[in-house]
Formats: sequence, structure tokens, C-alpha cells
Amino acid sequence: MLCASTNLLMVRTVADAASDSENQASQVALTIPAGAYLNIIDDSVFKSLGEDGSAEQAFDAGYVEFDAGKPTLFVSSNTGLMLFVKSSGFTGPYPKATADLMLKDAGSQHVNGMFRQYRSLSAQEQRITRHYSEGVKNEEHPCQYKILLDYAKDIPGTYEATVIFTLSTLAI
Amino acid sequence: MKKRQLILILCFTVVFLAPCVCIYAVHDSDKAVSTVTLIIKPACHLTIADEAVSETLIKDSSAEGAFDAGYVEFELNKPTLQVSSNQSWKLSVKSSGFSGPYSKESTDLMLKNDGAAHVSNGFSDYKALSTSEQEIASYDKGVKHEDHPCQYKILLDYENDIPGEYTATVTYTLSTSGA
Repeated sequence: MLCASTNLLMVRTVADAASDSENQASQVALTIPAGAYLNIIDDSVFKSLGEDGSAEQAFDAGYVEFDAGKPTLFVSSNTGLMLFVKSSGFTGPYPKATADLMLKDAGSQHVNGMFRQYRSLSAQEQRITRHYSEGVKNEEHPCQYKILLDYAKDIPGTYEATVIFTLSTLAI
Repeated sequence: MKKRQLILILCFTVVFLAPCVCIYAVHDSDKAVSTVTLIIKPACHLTIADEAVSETLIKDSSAEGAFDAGYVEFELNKPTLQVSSNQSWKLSVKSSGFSGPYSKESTDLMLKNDGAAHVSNGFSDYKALSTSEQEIASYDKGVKHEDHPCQYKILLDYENDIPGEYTATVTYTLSTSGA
């Protein structure tokens, strides 16, 4: 009776040893830094006020507007962001005031209220847009320039200004 | 014992928290440049207000006074010219001469420019017009909405100026000059 019991126990042990499993763990780590990408199209704009009446019309109005949507900025960021703008000021026949160059951003989202209408640029950075937390992908900012004109100051010649747009992510 | 705990906490902070802070403090930026170019050519604009003036000399009244004085003056500041220019400019005037019962002398029509500035060629007082252009104001810089209130005067002579209607057209020309 004793012998019979022992044999039965061994069979069961063998049966249990027939399946096996083992686990190994693998870790995947990805560090994503803050990333921002600014794309610009139609970055160079040009206007010539001629003797065809366009100059008189512009001077009488006190300004000349450039084409709408030129330039257009595309903003991408994986975190909160700020978009700034500053101007080099004009080169030309005389030191035309930097503030005579104005900009508006017709973008539908996240635009600073002040830039929804034309606002004078300066040599210091001014914030065009800011938003916190979530990122954006190819958010469009169609801009438009306007230059103030004054008969008494704006003598004939070529006036040029460089405008620098800077996109920065917000530090978390 | 407390000192050891403090050191352990400090080490934990340095080893584990500092890298986290560094990772999240890093931020990114991108730049884009745009150029704006504007070419301005010489531009000027002349407007005129109260350009048509008329005067009727009445028998036994104003006519006699005017003939005795030798002239009739029209209203002040009629016409008033407004000059805008973005560089040196000159304003000229010429007359068509009179049409009327006889060929009254062009020079019988006189003009005075009461502008506060830049009046030239003696037109700050009455000066006879002619069918050739004469400069009445000029300046070597740009101006904006500069007023030139003018006044006409017509010379009269009992012997020449028979009754009738005399009309003259006066043309003002604003032009930019120089480079």
C-alpha cells in the first residue's frame, strides 16, 4: 500500500514539469525635449509707389498696405509657446521711424489682442501670440504689413526693413 | 544619526530631482526673417477750394467806387490752395486771359498769395498774372497740407472796360523738382 502511493506522487511531479514559462522585462524610455518649428512663406514683400497716382493716393491716406497673408507663419510646437516679432528699423534716404512699420496677424487662434489690428513694430521684441500647455501643429498666422507715410518726411527713395519672428517654447 | 539622514536626502535630491529639472527647463526656439521693401517716388498733390469766384459791379454803387479806386478786389481766401509734396516743389500760376466784350489785358488780373510760408516771386502782394507760368510758392523740402489762401484783384479803367461779362481761367500747377 505504501509502494503504490509513492508511485502515484512521482507521476504527478513529472506531469507538472512538462510546461514552463519565464518572463523578462524590457524598458523603453524616450525623452522628448521641448521642440518648436517656425516656417515662413512669402517672407519678402515689396511695393513701389509710383507716379501713376498710387503714391499720391497712399500719401493722402497716410499709409500703404502690403498684400494680405504676406508673410504667413506656420507655428509648430509640442508645448506652450510664444511668438515674438521685432524690426531692424528702416534703411533708406533718412532714418524713418521704426514704428512706421506696422503688422497685424489675421490668425484665428492664440493671437495677442493687440496684433489683431495693426500695431507698430519696434526694435524690442513684442509678443504676437502665446498659449500655454498643449502643442500646436502648423498653426497658421497670416500677417500683413502697413507702412505709415508722411509727405513732409518721406522723401523719394528705397526704404527697407528686416523683421525677425522668434518662436520660443515655454519652460515647464 | 540626523546628520546622516540629511546627507541622504541631499544626495537623493541631487541624483534624482536635478536631472528632471534640467530636462524640463530646456526649451527650444526658432527664427524666421522677413524683409519689407518700399520704393517711394516723387509725389505731390494739389487741392483747391472755392475755385470759382465772381463779382458783379452795380451801377451807381459798387461800380463807381471800384472804377474810382481803379480796381475791384474779390473775396479773401478764394481760392485756397493746399499743397502736399514729398520733396522740393514749386507752385506756378498762369491765366488764360480774359474773354469778354473786348480783349482786356491778361495782366489786369492780379493775384496775391496770403500763405504763411514759402511764398515766392513777390506774390505776397498783388502781382499781375500772365499767360506764361509764374512761380508763386516753392520750397526745397516736403510739406503736408500747406495752405495757400489766395485773393484776386482786377484792374479797372473807365476808358477801356465797357459793360459786359469778363471771364478768365487761372491754372495752378504743382510740380516736384530736384533729385
